[in-house]
Amino acid sequence: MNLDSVKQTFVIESTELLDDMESALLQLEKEPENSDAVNAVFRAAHTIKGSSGMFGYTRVVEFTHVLESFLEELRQEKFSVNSEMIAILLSSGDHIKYLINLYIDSEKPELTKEVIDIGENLLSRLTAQAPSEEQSSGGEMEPTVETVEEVNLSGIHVKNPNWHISLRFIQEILRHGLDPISFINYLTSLGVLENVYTVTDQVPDSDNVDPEACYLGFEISLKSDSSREEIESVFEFLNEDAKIEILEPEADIASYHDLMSKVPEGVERMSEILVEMGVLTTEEVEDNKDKQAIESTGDTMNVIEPVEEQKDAEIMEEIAPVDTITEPAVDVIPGKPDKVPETTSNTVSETTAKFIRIEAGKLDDLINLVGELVINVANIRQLSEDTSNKAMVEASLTMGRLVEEVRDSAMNIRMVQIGDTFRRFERVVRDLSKKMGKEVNFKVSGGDTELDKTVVEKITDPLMHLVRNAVDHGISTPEKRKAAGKSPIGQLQVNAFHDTGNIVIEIIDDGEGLDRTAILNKAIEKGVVPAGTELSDHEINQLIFEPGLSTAAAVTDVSGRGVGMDVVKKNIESLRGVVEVESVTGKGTTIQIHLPLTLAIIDGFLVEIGKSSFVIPLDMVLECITMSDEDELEAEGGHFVNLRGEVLPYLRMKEFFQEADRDESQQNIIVVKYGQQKAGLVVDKLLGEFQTVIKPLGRMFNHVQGISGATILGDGSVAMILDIPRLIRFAQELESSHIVNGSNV
Amino acid sequence: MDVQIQEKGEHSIVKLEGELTIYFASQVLDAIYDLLNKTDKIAVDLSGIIEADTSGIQALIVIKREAFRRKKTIKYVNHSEIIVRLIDLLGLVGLFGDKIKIPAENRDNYAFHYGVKKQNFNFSG
Repeated sequence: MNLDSVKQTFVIESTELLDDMESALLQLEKEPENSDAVNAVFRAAHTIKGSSGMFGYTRVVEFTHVLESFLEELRQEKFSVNSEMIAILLSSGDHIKYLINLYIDSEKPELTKEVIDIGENLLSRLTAQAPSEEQSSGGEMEPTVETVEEVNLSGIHVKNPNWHISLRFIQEILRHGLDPISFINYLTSLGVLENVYTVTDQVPDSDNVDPEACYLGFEISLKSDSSREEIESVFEFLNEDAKIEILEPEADIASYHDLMSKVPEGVERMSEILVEMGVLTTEEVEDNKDKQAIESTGDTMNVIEPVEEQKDAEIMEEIAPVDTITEPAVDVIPGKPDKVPETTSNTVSETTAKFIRIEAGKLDDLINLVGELVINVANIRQLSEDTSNKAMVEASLTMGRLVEEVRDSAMNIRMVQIGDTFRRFERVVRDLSKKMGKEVNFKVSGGDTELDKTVVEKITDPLMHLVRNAVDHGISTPEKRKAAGKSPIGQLQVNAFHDTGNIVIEIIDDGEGLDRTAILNKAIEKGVVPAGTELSDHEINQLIFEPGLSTAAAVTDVSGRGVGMDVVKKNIESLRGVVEVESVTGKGTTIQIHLPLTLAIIDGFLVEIGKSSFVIPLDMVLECITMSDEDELEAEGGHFVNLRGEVLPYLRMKEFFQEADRDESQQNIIVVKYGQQKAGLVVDKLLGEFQTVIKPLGRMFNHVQGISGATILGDGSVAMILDIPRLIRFAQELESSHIVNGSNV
Repeated sequence: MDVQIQEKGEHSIVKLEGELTIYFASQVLDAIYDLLNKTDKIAVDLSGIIEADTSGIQALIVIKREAFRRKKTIKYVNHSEIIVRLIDLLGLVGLFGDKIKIPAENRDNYAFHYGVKKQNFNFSG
């Protein structure tokens, strides 16, 4: 087993555990009586301590040991939790993360006095919070693997002097060419098999027996001086085909209980089996039952599943670059937040079993292939229509429909909920508002809205920025709020929902709102807009995204929101998204982000401009109208038409792309919409709907405006995908410049 | 895998020869199920089994259990060496409950000190 890759798994796992711990702490702050949350925090600390011990990360073990003792007392309700404790525990989580990173960066990290002091300071503050008896302060214990295994919940050890191994297999294991018997046979080389119990409970009724499926389980008592590693190595090749539990001689009774609760046979039956095997005595089982009644969370570090660990580790090796230690893979069941796969610990909720952790790159390959398939099917459909063979056309249509379904499911695999991202904001809002002496009530809705994994990853930072801004500049101090006649507690809400092929994310605060006069003045001063320009409120609001205004000093502290907003906008636009801000002075600000559902494949609308084909994302097309001569005449001097009484700016695409002219008696206007903005695009010919696989353009096309990507048509030719948000802006600029010119003349 | 069926009084005797492995488990199951419909008492001669794997052993368990369920009798007899070894290894002596003949000189090769207690088929699963 590659130790480095195991360490990577450890990093991922502990990061996720620390995240869990953090959210549990935040929950605990709201509901101090919540024992589930206390348990979750305890489990995180406990598991990290155990895993760190295995790697010899002594400082982490020392630190978490004290933390754990404290949490244990909290768990036993020796005292109740207060906000000071929460604050220290949150910082402790950060400290653990920091320590782990130190150990990962170098095998023997230099633990400076500062680092130690930070930890000791946290611990002494923490122990001061515990009113009861004296606590051992960190640094005294000698943490080794042994201590980790000794430190346990109940402290009651069974008498059984043998290793106990429990094996359960997936039914397909035999078809995978693995024979469980051979593993058991191999165990005899490590010691004496004191007892083997073949568990037949899962064999179905004879009518339903599949002779090639494995229904058997084995409980094995092994008398051996071998180490855990040696025993684990026997099962190394079982990979994800088996659930393997290995309990050391005289293991803690709690670990046996844990085993009993995991096997499909159930606690009762499993107790029977273990007693019959002589692994446990009747008294031990009875004691355990009593203990169970008192304490509901038994978790130990004794159960190790090396195989899963390795699987993860392989993934890690393949993808994780050194600096990205979190979430290198995608969990493929959509609709659920990412979960920790079961590895060195057993402190994972049961839902885990339903997830498969796979490498993100594999998914990308799949999407790519599906993309190629989509292109090919379009080609086949075209060809079959040319043959005018009815059956052939029909078959190709059916195939097209199926491919479409395949495409949808493939895309769906990449979908993850945005809720996890939102949860991260909670801590930020909490810390920031505390620091600034503000009170903020943070609410989230639509956390189960699903977005493409890539989109979620890329949107997190911009969102974080907007949330911070809202707390930092938007919501003011309780005093000021009271003076303004508002509730002293500010409201900050983050929403996510679907809207016609887009995902909308809203960040709403009830703070000060934008100071439009200040923004406009600053914009004029910076030369972003010419002096004397009349701008609508909406237009002024959007100015906060201009790069020229992107320093904190740009606007007064009250109206704020200058920092890095241009970067936010750029990031969102790189996802083919659009961001808009609405604000009522004194009442609050709403920022709306529209994002496309996915990045790779879209339904497109194929048009011809000059002699080239172009694709417009279908969900942005509102309608198509014929451009009449009158329209053109009317539009003289200004690039706009009258669309049922509405001013619609338009862009002549042929001119825009300087396409060769061609004799076309009739021109069409495609009305497109993005966000709140509309514009018309004048094209030569409408070719209809087209499934479009977006291929990114090379870097040399970076400067080309109005194009966001390319796609390959059924006949193999290339069509450009129009960058609608940008084209709409061009059209509007063109229109307003004409108006300005017109009034000047 | 060769399956021969012989009638001998009220007994049917099934002689299995060859590999009792995943490739033939289904064949063995089908043959014996079929026989269970006709006869009440079956003896399965295992002397010709030269190889067995988990799937094969599982088939033997399934057959025993099915007979138990239908209140019929199936005995495994004349265990070949590999079968004895696997029954020993997996602690299935008690579950099968058949007499196993082992030459005295080979007796030390097997453990058999475990699993002797009667393990019953559990129908809850």
